[in-house]
Amino acid sequence: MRRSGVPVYIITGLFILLSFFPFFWTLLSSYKPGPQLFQINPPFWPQPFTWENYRAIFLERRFYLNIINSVVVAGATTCICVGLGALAAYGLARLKFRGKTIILGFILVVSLFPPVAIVSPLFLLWEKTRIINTYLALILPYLTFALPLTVWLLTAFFRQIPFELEEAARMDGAGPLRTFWEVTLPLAAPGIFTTAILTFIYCWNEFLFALAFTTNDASRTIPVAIVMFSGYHTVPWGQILAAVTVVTVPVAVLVLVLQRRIISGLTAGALKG
Amino acid sequence: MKPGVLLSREARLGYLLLAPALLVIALVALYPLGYTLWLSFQQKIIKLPWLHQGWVGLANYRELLAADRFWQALAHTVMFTVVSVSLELALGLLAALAIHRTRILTGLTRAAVLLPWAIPTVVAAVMWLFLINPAFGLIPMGLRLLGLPEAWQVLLAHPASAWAVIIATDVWKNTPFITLMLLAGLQVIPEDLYEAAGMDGASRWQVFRHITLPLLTPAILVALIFRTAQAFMVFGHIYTLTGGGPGTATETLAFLNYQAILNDMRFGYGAALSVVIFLGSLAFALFYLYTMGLQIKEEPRP
Amino acid sequence: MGEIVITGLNKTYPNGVVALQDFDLAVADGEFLVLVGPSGCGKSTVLRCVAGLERPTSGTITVGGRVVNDLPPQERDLAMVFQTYALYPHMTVFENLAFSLKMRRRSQEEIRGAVASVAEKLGLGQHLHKKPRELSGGERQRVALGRAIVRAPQAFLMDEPLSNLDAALRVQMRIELLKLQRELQATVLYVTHDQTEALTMGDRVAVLHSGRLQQVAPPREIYDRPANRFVAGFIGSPAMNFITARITRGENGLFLDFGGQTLSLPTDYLQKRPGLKPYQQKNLIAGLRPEHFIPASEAKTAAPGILKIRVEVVETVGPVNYVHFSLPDPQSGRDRTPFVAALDPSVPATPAQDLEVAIDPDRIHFFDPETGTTTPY
Repeated sequence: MRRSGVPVYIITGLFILLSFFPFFWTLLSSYKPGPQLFQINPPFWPQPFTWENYRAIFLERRFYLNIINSVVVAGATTCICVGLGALAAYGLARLKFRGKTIILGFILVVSLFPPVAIVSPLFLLWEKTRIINTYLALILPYLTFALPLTVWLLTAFFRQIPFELEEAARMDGAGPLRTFWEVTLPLAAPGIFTTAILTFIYCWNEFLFALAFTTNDASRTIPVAIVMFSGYHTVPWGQILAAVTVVTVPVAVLVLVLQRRIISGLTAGALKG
Repeated sequence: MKPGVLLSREARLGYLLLAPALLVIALVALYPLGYTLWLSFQQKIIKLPWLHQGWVGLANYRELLAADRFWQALAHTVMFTVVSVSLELALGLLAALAIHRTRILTGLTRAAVLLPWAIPTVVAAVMWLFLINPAFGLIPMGLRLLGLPEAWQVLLAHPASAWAVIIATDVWKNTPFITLMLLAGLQVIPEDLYEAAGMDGASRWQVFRHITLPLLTPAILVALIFRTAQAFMVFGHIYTLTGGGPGTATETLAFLNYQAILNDMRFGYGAALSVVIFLGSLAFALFYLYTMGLQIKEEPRP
Repeated sequence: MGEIVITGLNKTYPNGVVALQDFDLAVADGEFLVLVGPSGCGKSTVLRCVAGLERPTSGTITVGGRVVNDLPPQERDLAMVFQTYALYPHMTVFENLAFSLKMRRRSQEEIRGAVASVAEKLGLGQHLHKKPRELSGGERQRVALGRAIVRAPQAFLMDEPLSNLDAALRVQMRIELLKLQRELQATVLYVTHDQTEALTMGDRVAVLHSGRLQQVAPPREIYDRPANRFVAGFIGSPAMNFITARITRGENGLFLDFGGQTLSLPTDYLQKRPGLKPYQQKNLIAGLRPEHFIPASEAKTAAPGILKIRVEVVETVGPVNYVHFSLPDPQSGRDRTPFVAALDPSVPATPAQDLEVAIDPDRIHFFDPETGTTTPY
């Protein structure tokens, strides 16, 4: 057994502290009344504690619209990707045919291409078809990075399922579709779920397309909306911090509850390929 | 009996299963990309409709390659990529080794590792913007306590300190991702290798140098490649933190490209820049494929 | 139950590897046939071709008189037991057992009845609601068997089903499996690399090597009359000793020269084994099973059948000692050929000791040095 020195605990502790502190400070500050927020040496605890910033973003800025936008866009993209991706990944993981390596390579190349490269044609197309500011204007470009990701992850997950189980099902009298439905899918469910979470998070965080293809407050997603809170002369810091807290807390809960899954997804996609 | 009937049936099913996904990718990615290429040979400036609009051959590319702002953005992008990814790798390795050693990969540590990764880049940037606010931010407050001159406390006003803020934000947000990858890599190194090395009389540094590092290389490589590709397309931080400023001191390729398209409404010129960025990314992706070649080879079936 | 007939089976993989060549085999109705061979010999390929999990390059497979070549696995009415058991981890034992019946759209009552009777037969009654991961290795093995027998298929295919069990359990399951097979009068094609399993379990044993069938015969015959040097060497543990030998006729009778020693043979030896006549004065390969050596003092025949050896290593395995020695064998390409004799522990044997052992000439096997086939008896 190797000895663990004090320095490693200090490094680990520092790492955790540095990761958490900005969130913690944001959370605290979002409850501070304006004057305190802008003090030269701000107090640590909010005095008094106020919900004013939260009231303002929901009632005055209708921030809930942005939350709905983000949920719908990320959710719809995730559903489409997992549906199409599961089919493709099953083929890639299980069936023998020519050109599989090339297809996987192609998918990987697409996943690495710069989003900005398709902004200009899509902007022109969306203008012409008048779908700017609609969900579709975001869902379609989101597919470019989300679909390769899901295919890639799901292929890795499907490969982890012992092939013998599917053979056993065939011997037991199940056809290919029945086998997929009764054996492969239930066993792949954790992997599919993980893939869905990751895809959702990637869509949730997207900024460039969301900035380019929305032009009014009501159709923006959360990241763009928060950036757009700032006016030319004033920066409503209290509201920005409240909005950041509102979107971070659910993510934090998600991350705490699903951490194992998320990590398994990140490493399955990257390390196993 | 015809041999290979089943095989072709299997192949047909395979293509059938892949068809929808590939079709969608072709439609949403390849078609716009082709459009971008076509646009890059056009003059299309929405703000100036009275100018000639249409085919201009290589004019956009010529203008681009002659523009100092382009070369400057390229240099910025490369600098940002190299500096932030190196820092993230170094810190990530340190953190991964420490967490692995302490074996306190508890819920709290995992969440600490995941949370910065899981929030949107621009949300992270906004939080940092708050922390560095010259009037009431914690970091300038700290700098004041250290006795640094007042002028230095407006961090975004100077190119060097503005870059420092951008890089710090990126490092804060992405080091956890690398830590995670490397932790996963560390966890698959069998413990008895360390024990054997210990029996062989290796020092801690020797164990790290000859056991940990070589076996961790694949994980390091993957993390590096992913992060490099992402860093090369950096946009959100720049847009949120500095808007490319002061002046054009923090403009990157993606930011410049966005400005050309949505600020200047120069779609042809922007497309030419997109094509250049795309070619760079493609070269990188092919290099990546080459590196990962062994891993995506079809796995033999039992 | 139905018989399995395989004719002219060939399998070449896309990468050019030939897995099977001109393979013919018939498993009779109710027969327990063991297909045995070293790993990579193609035995699993045979099984998978019969199962329909792999497509033969050419050849015909019939099950119960029906050509199944073009049928997908689920329509062949065969059950398979996998080496890893391949139990569905997300289903309970009951659901695992019921799965094949559910696929055949049997009624709930029928499924419950069939599963209950199989569970009782295999002693799984109290485990029906557990998931496979909660079971011990032996219990999982039983579930795998139960899943195969629950729907009374035409025949069973078993792919090394006992190889993941520990030694004691394996011996016990061997017997249980045989009892079960007799009771069900099941047709079984059983694949293994373990020659002990093959000999103890098979009604007949088929030995496969490098994609070619070497011999199909009852276990006794495989052991006593191996068709060629490969079968002789593969069946039996420890393996048969081989050495270049020559039958010579001297003034005082018939002799067998090998390893620098001369064994005298009975004068009527060639009358009993006329197949050896053409090999007189020529090199051939002699095969001597370790268990056929006896101490010289116990030899019933006259003194000349005796071999003088120098003991090199003695392995104690309990009922016998394996005594290792070597004999000069210039024809084999190396100076000396290692030998093993299984002797009773009462025979004193220590390293570097000189010892005399005897072997019954009737138990010596001879093989053609060119083809490796057994000389005709």
